[in-house]
Amino acid sequence: MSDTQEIRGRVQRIVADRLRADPDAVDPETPFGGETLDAESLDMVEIAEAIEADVGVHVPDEALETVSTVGDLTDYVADRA
Amino acid sequence: MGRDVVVTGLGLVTALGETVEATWQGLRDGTSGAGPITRFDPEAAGIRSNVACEVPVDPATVPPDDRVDDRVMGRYAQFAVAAAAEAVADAGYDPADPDWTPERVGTSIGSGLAGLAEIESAAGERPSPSFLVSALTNLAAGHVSMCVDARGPNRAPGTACSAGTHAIAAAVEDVRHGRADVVVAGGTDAAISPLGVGSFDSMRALSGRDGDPAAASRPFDADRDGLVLGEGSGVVVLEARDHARERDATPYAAVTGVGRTGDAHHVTRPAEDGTGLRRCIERTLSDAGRDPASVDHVNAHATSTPVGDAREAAALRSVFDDPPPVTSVKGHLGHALGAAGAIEAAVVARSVAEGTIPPTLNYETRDPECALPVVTDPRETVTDVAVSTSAGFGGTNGALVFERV
Repeated sequence: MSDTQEIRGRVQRIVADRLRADPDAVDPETPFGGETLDAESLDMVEIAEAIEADVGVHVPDEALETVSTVGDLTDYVADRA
Repeated sequence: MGRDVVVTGLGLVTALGETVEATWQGLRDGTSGAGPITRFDPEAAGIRSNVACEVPVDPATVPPDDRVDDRVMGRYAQFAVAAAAEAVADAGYDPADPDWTPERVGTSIGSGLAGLAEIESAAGERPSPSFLVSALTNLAAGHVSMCVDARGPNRAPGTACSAGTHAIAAAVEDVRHGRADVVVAGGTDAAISPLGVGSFDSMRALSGRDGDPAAASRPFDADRDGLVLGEGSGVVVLEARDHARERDATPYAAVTGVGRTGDAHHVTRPAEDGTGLRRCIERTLSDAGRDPASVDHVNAHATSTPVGDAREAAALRSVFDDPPPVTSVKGHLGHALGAAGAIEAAVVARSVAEGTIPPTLNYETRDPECALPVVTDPRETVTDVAVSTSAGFGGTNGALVFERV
């Protein structure tokens, strides 16, 4: 597994863990606003803080406002890790 | 409705100083109370923000210093005791006077985070016997009652950033309904600690303007980027108008309306379009028997966060067809949480009495989301009716109406 894939996996696990979703139900296409995750702004800040602590990549508020799927977020973090 | 209620004494401990005069002058002059955090090392605590509005003096040294005992009082209680001592003296009262009737005097001091810093310091060790009473939310009210010998109703709302306003609202009702003739009422908080600042930091609620602390807190400004944490206490002496008249006391203002509502919406975000705060202001004006058009000045809560100010502006624009002059002292003092509403109540009472609206600091660029007539210079004007608003986490709102006497 490449480093990028490993980071994507970590971000996806953080998302599932923070939003108490079934990890198997979360994939890059999963929208944050949909039924599976149903994330709101405070959840997104929690996820961003956890990513910063775990992966070391800061996701600013402006970026959080533009990510709509789990894949968008993993792309953002993987590009900067 | 009961008896009329007036404000006869004021006390303030803020980032601008330990007296009402120091705070008032600083507000008028546009002095910022913000600076780099000195109470702890933010970097060592892993905190990104390094700006706060700290009280510049040790409350235990504020005269009369025998009232403030830092061995048993948490910092939040020390602030409240110092502010209450000033307010009671300012009202012309001396609790040692034989005319002081303790059973007719109430205490109502709210706090949002109260002993958070004390709990943080004590965590992980066997607590000292005095730990618990240095941290409990109601110990500010408790110590104030002991210091001024107030044996009437005693309470301590813990309604986050509305706590000070709620404490005053409930105290007004005590006087109206004859449960007390005098109530020492206000709010206090002292949360500039690693846990206090860190909590707001991790929520991304704080301003990131570390390089320019004086410009960091920007109520309603288009370039606001978050709140600056403050600390301190505001206390007012509330009194039945007849009771004040009998002893020839000169009131600063009357408090004619109080109101409280819940958003029932979200833990941190205000309701869409500020509907919770709107209903609160409408209730408060109705309680005062005043039409929105009669309001001359609004002291806004204005946390200086992007969403909070926009929602408050929406609330004000829905209450007022033509909003009156709006100000916020948070540009000078930061956000003192549960103390904020009480500090602002004292400022508004002074403003009504003096006929001067203090300016809003750091308001430079109009935000279309906050289309309000924000006052940026001290304005000499007769204010007959002023409204002060507060809002807190959990969706809790409070408002007060002050009138010229």
